[in-house]
Amino acid sequence: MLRVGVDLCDGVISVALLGEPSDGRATVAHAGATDHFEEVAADLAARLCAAEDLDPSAISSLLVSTDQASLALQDPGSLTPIGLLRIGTGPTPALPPGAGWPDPFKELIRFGAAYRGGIGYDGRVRGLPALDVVRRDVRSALELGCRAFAVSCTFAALNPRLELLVEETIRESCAPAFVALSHEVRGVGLQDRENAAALDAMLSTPATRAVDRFRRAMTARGFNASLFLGRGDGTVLASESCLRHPATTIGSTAAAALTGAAVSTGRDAAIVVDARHREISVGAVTQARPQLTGRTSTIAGLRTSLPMPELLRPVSPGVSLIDAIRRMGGASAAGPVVVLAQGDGTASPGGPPGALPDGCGEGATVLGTTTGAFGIANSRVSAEALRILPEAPSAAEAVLEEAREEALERAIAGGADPGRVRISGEHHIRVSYLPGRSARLRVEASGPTDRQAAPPSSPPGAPASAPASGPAPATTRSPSLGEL
Amino acid sequence: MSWLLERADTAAFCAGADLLGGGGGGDSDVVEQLLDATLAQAPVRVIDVSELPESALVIHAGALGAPDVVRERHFAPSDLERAIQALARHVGRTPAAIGAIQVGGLNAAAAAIAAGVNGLPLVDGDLMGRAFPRLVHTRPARHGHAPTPLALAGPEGHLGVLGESPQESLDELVAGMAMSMGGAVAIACHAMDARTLNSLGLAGTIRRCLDLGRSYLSGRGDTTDELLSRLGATGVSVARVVAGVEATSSSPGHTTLTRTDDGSVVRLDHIDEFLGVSINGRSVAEVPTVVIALDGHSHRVLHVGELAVGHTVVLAALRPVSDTMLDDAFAVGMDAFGFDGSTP
Repeated sequence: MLRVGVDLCDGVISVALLGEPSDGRATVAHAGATDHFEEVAADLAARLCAAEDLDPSAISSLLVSTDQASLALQDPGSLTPIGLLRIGTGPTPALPPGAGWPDPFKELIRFGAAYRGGIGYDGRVRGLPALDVVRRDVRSALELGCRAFAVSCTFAALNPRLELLVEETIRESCAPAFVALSHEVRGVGLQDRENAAALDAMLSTPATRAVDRFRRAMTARGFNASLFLGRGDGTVLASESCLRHPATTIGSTAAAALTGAAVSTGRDAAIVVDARHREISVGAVTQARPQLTGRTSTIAGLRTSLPMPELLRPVSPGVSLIDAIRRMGGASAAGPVVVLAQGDGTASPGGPPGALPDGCGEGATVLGTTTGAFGIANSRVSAEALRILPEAPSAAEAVLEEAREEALERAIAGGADPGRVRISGEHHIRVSYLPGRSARLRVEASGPTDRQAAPPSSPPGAPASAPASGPAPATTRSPSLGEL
Repeated sequence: MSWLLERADTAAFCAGADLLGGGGGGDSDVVEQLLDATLAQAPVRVIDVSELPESALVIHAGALGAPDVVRERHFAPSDLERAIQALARHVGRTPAAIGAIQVGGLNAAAAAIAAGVNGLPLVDGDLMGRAFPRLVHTRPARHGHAPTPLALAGPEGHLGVLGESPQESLDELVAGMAMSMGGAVAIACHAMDARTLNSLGLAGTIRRCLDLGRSYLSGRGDTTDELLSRLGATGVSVARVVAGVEATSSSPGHTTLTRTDDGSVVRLDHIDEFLGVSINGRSVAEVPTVVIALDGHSHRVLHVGELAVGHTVVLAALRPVSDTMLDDAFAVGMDAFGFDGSTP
């Protein structure tokens, strides 16, 4: 019942080994930038196990947060050419598939088409796409070099039937094709979901390769644990499921750092200044979770429905660090401020880049580079289900129950422990400007990874008061929880 | 004096409209892209209604229904064209200009798109000075000028004309039609001569919307105080969301917050838009004043339903885009939304 958290952010690798709450031991290590992070991470994990006299096969879960997807987007040559198929607008839609995509990503959309039909706001099928046309288009797309497809449909989150139908049609022509479906991406907003699905498709090849390399490196050192990938919303998903949505890993390192700050300090709410990297950012923890952007986020200049941590970068023109902290709700540093600094939680070689202004740093809790590794190791699997709530209370209750079941099933499919997965949120969202009680229902389920220990574990040596000094050791043996 | 709404104005115009939506009126992102495409073809000429002959016909156009539906099933400019043409056929006259039903939310851009696709000028003014949820909330409607006849065009090919309706059931009837057509439709209504519009419309609001958006975009990265100063906003509270209650068919919703500076309790009432703010039980702003909520971190404009527990938001009241909004005895107030005990 041991788990390893690996955080790769801005070229810095952190690894945390967390054990049973009964012994509460936690050990950390970190290393500098490398082109072979998976080898270094696997070495670090193996060394941590050796230090604890553990066989790597005893590790049950490997949880990884990484900025590899963001880096891949900076290297368009590594991305997969895609076909973009949309159901629910006419053949000459006002905003065609791929509209608004910036260069060079636009060139990766080798084929785009829109079909009549779609799902209505009530989840009913409003019309079927012409599948013979879809078949013809898929053949054309393949001839143009498309190796992955993104399929979107109006209100697909309420009824995935038409997207699944088109996926089936694609597989008739090319069974192994990577097909990203927008209904598997959360949120309302066709274009936002479509953009996210398209990013998933573009990232499919580099993401699969990166995970394969990591898995091989870990296996070579005796690890055979379940692999989970962190997501931008602060949750994790089994790698097999997450590889269908590699774009969701964007923002996972920031989310892991925020989760780590919450877990480490035991705070449900905090302002988190991340000064570990070249660029200082300010985020927030709310209800012990990373505070996320609204219903959309911008990735590579594209608006998507992917949830991401809300971050302010004080280096932005006009935004000072103290203003960023205030905006995040920590007026005059009255709110709890947590600083993530270089080093190991008690160390900050050379001080954090861009030292905190007076009034911000005093009294702040300082954590180290490894906070992200602890955050990802303590992250949970989460999934959700969307429905439209009918007006009749009896029918609404049945829909609610159905949504709960679906959310639980999806969380378990994503790697949550079936015995400990729970409904973690039910949100009724009124549909504006429609008469009656029109409301969307969003149900979330979450749970620990299948063999993850129940309560979160804390990192070693934290919290400590600012300012911190002294070099950080490459590997630190942690005290037990009882010593903290 | 006429002026051109150009492609370079798109972002600012839509940002201003988003603010004037007062938490409602719909997310303008999709129509912003459509407006950008429209203005890329040619700028839209914006005119003062007084520049038109008194007998010239102005048709008001926009979108009606759920903005969530617009985000899923994209708005088609051709639907605006169909609705306008259907209404023109019904009244037997050709419009000389297009007017905005409301300058708040996505309908500001929708009106500009309608003007662009029909090759007509856009009147510098609107009928609400912000966003309101009902057709009977337009200023002409409250002065006895019915929005009917009106035409609706849906994304699946529906086209309907409603000749007349009792005012008290008009919105329910039209909403029912919109739902049957897919949940969101293009609407053309308030076909009126320039003389009547000149006496009842809110003049200059398109220009003010653009100016407001420019101020917002140029100041969004500034400190909160500086940004709000640029916007001319008053009654500012920076507060953390504590709890929220969604509106139902029988009662408005509200969000409870605590101010970050002194811990005062803030209550924000809302249905489709933010309707009123009170601090420690004392009202500090209410409709028709436009109440805005900005994300405390990014200064992003927030809509009803986006205020999450634990988040820090900035609440403020915008200066009215037209003085007539507040002075008018027919102004839409809190009682129009059920705060007098009636059904909203």
